[in-house]
Amino acid sequence: MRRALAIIVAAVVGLLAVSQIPPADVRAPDFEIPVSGIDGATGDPSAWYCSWAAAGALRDTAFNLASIIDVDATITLPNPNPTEEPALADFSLRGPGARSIDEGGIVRHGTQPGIIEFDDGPAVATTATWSEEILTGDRCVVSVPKEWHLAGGVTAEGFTLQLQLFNPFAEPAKVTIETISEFGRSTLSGFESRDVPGRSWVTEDLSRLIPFLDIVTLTIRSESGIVIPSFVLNDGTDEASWPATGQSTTWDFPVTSLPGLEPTLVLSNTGSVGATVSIDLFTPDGPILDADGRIISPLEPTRIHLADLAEPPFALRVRSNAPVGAIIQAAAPGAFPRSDDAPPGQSDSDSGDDEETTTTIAPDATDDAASDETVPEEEEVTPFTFTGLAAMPGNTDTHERWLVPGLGIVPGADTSIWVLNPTGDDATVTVEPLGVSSNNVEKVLIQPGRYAEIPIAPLSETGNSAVLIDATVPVSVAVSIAGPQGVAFIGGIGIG
Amino acid sequence: AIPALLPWLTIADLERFVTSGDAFWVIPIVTAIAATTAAALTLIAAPHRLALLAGWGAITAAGGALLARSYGLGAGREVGAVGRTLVAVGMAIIVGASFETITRVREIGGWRRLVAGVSVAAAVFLVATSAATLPGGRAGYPADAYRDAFTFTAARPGDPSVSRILVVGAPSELPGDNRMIGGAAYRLVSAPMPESWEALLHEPRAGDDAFAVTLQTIIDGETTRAGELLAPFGVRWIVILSDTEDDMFARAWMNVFAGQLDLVPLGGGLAYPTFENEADDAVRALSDSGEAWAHVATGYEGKPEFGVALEVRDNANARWGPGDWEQIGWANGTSASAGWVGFDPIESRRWLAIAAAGWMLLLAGAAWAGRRFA
Repeated sequence: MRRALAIIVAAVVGLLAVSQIPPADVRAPDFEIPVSGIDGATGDPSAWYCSWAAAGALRDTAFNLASIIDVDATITLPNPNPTEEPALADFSLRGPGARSIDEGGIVRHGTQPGIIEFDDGPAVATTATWSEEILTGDRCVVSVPKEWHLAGGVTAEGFTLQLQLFNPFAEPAKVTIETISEFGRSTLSGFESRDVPGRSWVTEDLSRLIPFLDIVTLTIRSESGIVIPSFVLNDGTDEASWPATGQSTTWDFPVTSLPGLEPTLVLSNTGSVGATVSIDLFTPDGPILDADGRIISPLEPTRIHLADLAEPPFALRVRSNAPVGAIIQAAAPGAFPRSDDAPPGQSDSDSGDDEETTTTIAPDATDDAASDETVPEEEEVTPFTFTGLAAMPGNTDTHERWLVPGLGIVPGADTSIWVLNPTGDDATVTVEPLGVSSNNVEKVLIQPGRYAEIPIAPLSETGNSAVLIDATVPVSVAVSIAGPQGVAFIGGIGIG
Repeated sequence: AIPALLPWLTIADLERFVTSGDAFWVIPIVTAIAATTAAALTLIAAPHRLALLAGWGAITAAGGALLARSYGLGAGREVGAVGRTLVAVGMAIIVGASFETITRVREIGGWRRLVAGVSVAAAVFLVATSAATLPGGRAGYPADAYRDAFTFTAARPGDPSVSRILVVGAPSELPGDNRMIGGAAYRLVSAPMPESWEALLHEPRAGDDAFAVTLQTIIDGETTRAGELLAPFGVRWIVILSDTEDDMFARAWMNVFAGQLDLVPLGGGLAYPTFENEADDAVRALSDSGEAWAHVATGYEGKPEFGVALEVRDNANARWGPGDWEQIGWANGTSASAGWVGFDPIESRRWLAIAAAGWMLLLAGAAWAGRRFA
């Protein structure tokens, strides 16, 4: 009897023990590094990575800073020799305010990416680089994802394409780069687990590595460490640089071209299924919704010559049912290879004729003999045109407030702010200058589905190098800088 | 013996003692089957008194297993330890009864002898599995996994004992207790090698709360200079412990620290991913003249400087001294004049401890005398 009792008691207690519930099995933490939007700034301390900048005998670069509140900023310029100390420069901004810092005043090492750290925010940074022959500029990057997309590369004859990989961190990075071109997808030779030393950068001439490609999209994945990539494209007349981005279902381009330049839109899809894309144009006469629609296949990046859709200028919105990459590029007509399907009734040769005619608008755009013949006739139509090459990733979000630094800083160049109102309501846009004086606040009314160009006076006249834009509805903002050196488009940075 | 426990019983937070940590022992299935077989068959086959003994052993082992797995009932780590001890005691009783049963040739025969033989086989298996831990020289305790993780600090420039190591990883990977943030574990330990008394962590206090806030700031990506934020806590190194290459915790922590401008990853074949803080003054006690003080035992030692203040970056407590004390945020301000600082003991508790030690000696003496002269 006692034996049985002992067996029963032990069995019951043992079963109770077996039936106990274990602690929750936690297999992963619930945090990950938040990735900021590429065109947004937060109210926190931030570090902005400017991948393409250069200050040397021929080139100058300005780091353009703007802030809503009082902030201290530190610019760090890593030494080309990573074992040596970087150059540092500290600045203070009284907010709301802006400053434009000459990189050459800190150090002149030639190509020299930089890091701009703000101890508070919202504060933003862009760069502008120019010489007597080129003009380019970028929105600096505040997010640091492990995977980047760089669309819009061209290595066709006449173009020089460089890939800049900037590793601002101490940890060496190991990256693998995948190329998608008109010939499909492949790993970039020499970039399978390529090392990028910490606090250093690598500049690779893709024109020699993958020559004669009309359209190149890169996917850059970091196996370890982090890099900030950018493309630098030169067509012999000018240079354009643009940072890598993520992919998005919406891209806004408040500026797509300037007089004398033909806009093209590059779309790429690195997903696994085709993306159905619609293009809305916002012209001075009103919006043209669904001006173009097409399916972007995963392995077929596409260049769309926007002048085939409507007469520039216009702003543009790309809508897609799947994330895609989008870059606007503007250059002299005919500069970019034609790989897209021309609209019905228009052959490639037809468009070529158009290009010839349009090209002649710019007196200095080409030395084509055919162009010279039509110069007198075209000068009557367009009194002033620009030559050069500009490129810019779009804005993925609309905001009611934007900080726009780097205005009027390039000697001899014209600067304009472009504001797109993609909404169905009127937008009243308040433009407050930042810098020496916040006087002369300007108000601009933008009708629904329209855009506005707001010319900005040079820094040397006003002492102001940025504006704070406050709109009554969410808008999208970009900057154009155009001068005898070339042209540049710079995406805006929204702050809320 | 109760008076010997008085210092502990009167001071310790007993509720925290029994609930801190998780009581959950994962029973190895083969061992469980062997133990159940040995207990059940001994109960069936053994003579009456031995069977009752085995019964008590089985109840003790089963009760111990219940305690050791009582996380769901709110029990903590210490209760779990008691449970596992009871399991060991119960199993010893069962094994002893089983071996004794097979020697009772006159009392056990026929089918009961066959059953007793199977019971002994199971008992032999239990003894063998226990003995298998002996050749390793650690009696079943975990391997010394942390020596390789921390010894590198002694090879780094400067005195490692002036700084701390932030250890992060999965909850089960860290030495001793850990604190949790976002489902992952972290804790601070002394460099170059943690002391054994650092294993258990106390309730979070002001400095611990400030450190948690700082770590959350870093995790949230609100800074790119984590080193500057960690330096005031004396953190010069960060070690990410991981057991496998695809450890999600290690990967998440790597992502947190890889994007920081002032944290340098250390290579050189270290056992675990390790970062060094480049920020200035990542020390745990710092004088106003910039002298870092070394951590010695439970206090600090450094260059004596008259009229110079010393910041001790431990939880604020007025017992830090000698000299005047002031609270600096979550830390302590005192004087560098003596060349050492320490935590002033609580006299009443010290006397209680001394009295308890005396009482223990008295008990031992009485026990010896009782046996000697009885």
